[in-house]
Amino acid sequence: MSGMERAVQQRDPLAALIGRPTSYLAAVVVPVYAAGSTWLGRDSIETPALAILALALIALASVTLVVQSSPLRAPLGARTHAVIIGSALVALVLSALSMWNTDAYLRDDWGVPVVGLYFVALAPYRPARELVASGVISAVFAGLVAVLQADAFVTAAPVSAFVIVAATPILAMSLAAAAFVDVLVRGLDRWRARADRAFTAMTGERGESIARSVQQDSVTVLNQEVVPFFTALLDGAVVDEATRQRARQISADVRATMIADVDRSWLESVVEQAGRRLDGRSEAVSTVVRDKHRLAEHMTTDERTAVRAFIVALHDDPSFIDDGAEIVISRDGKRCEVLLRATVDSELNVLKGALAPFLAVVRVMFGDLQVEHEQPNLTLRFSYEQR
Amino acid sequence: MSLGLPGHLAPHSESRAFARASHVISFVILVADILLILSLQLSRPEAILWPAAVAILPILVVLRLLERYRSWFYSVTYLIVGTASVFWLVLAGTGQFPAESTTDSLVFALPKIALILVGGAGIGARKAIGWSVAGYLLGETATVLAALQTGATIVFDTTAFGVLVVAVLLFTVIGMSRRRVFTAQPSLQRAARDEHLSDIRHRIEVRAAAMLHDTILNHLAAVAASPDGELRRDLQGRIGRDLEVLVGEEWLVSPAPAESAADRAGWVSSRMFRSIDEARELGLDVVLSGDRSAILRLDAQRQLAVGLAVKQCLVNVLKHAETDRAEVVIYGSDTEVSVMIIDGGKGFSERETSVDRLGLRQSVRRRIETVDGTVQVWSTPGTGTSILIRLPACDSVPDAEPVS
Repeated sequence: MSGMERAVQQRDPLAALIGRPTSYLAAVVVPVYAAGSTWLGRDSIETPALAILALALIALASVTLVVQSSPLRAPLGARTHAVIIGSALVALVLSALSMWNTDAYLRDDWGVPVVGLYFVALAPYRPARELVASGVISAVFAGLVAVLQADAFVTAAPVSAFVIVAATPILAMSLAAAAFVDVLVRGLDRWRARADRAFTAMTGERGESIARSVQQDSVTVLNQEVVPFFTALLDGAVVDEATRQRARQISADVRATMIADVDRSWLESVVEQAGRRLDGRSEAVSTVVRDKHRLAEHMTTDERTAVRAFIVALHDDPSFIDDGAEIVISRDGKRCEVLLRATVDSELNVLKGALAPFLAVVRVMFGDLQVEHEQPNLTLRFSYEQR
Repeated sequence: MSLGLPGHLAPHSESRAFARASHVISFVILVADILLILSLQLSRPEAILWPAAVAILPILVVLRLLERYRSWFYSVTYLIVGTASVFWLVLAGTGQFPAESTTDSLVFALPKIALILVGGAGIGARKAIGWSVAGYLLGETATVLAALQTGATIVFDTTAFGVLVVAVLLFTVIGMSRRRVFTAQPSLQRAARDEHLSDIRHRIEVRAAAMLHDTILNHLAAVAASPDGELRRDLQGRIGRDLEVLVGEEWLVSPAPAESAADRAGWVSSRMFRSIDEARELGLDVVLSGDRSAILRLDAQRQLAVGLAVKQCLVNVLKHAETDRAEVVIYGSDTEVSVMIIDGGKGFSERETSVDRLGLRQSVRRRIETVDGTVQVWSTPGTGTSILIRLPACDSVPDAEPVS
């Protein structure tokens, strides 16, 4: 997790998913508001071409926001932030130029509030510091535009008043967005520290009972052959060729059991457990894991958690058809590539159904996740670094 | 375990975040309003506008209290004081020029927006919307009442209304979205817990496998190599002791307490010392160098793990390296202890030994990895083998006796 920014989307993918509709909202409300204001103020527009260009830029910013905030494109990066706010600022200038000398008041202009609203819409995706920096710069920029435009306004007022009116909405909304992110991310940090402590405690409590059960399993294995064999020897049985042969045989058996147990990867266990949940639904054909080089072991705990949650959710999904799904992990240079194939017989787009939140989490953990759903074949591809 | 907040905590955290964001907006626009009034005052020195700026101060004070204690009492106080402030502001702002004043001026809209964005007590979209609507209605009522007093023109304030609409939309959309997404949250938390438990089990299984390897498999190999007749006395003794421990005691739950206590007592009683001693008894010439007391900077579990791992490395030298000499180098820093086992034997390629990989993998690599250490192996056929084991040191260094 060290490479992650202090952004909500990267710390709590589900919270960002909850915030996603606000991106749609901003993408609809902002252009409608800008277009409506332009229409109502059409009498003061001197250069319609500039006004139209400004609206086109707003449309571009909104489309960028909707496309880039998709959970399957996560994380939304600093560059997208720059494109959206940059477009809005250029639109602000173009809109001001379109009614230079004819603009009645600054406060009726849509340019400034639109920049602020984009900051609110960006809150789930970017870190607080970046929002503050970008907000302050944007507010100063809007203030400068207001200074240049001050003499051109029809209504007379001191320049400082125009600067305040121009800078305040941007400053207020960007700082609010940053405060929002800050509270959420700090909350997550506190929770993580608490959860870690709880897990440490659980390791102690549960570790003991797990150790007992593992020991019981080992003792069961030993009692089958090893204990009788050694007991006979300790009781005075003599060593001969048959004894030596038997010692080698038992050794090979114990070795094979131990390798089978220890070599079973966590992924195989997950798939097996998830498959068990299907019992009774149909004649189960269990999901196959093909991971010759044991590459699944290279995933971090968080990556494993995301994959585990997705596999369990997939098996629980009513539209999942158990006809031999497979997970293939192969090596490509220093990266491990995962290919997951499953049959999901759902008319619904998987990106919108019950699996969507899990896919969002997988996407945050594995930045290159690609999802294809050609009814009924679902294919997931993603990769991670070999550690 | 960093995949977000659990379902029962998330709404609290979100409400707090929304409240903080609302309070930040309110603070910025109230301060901006004061500056706006002062700049208008400066440009029109003949008018007395500054009392309008003073009207905003009480609401700023209550805002600070509300941010600190987000309770019902302070939320209601904020609305009451805010309403009074707006009334005073409109009165002071329009009183002198009622003919040219309208109630939708930005100077009046800003504190009304601060009233809409109460960020009041409680959790959930409905409460948030309730507070905002109440703030809006109170702000508008105060404005109209003040305007009726001064005779200013009453104009519908689109800015304040717009802010109310956006706030209500935002709360509604997020409230609806949360219900859909949060069905996934418990599964995610369960997956994190399962992952953790599976990791604990795996570590224990590795420990069990290493332990069985060191005892049962070694004894079986010894039996397979024994000549005809009764088993050697010392081998019988070791088999008997190990069987007793493996079947009768809780050898997996924690390292044997006697052993950990002995480990801490000093180098001579450490597991590492015993391992080297045992290897010497088996006929290997072990040269020890470096800072031997560094080993005492490891906790009991790591001392045991590295001691047993070194034993396995030395046994490997005897079995496979075709040499009777090995060197063990111990060195440590404040944060880390390293042990290197070097031999000038025939070497190997780790891949070729895959058939009998249990020794190096279970008894050395996995055993060290389960106590957060790392193992690096350098070996080329013909030029010998070096194995580097690195382990994190304890936070506190026990007072170690100098080793003779």
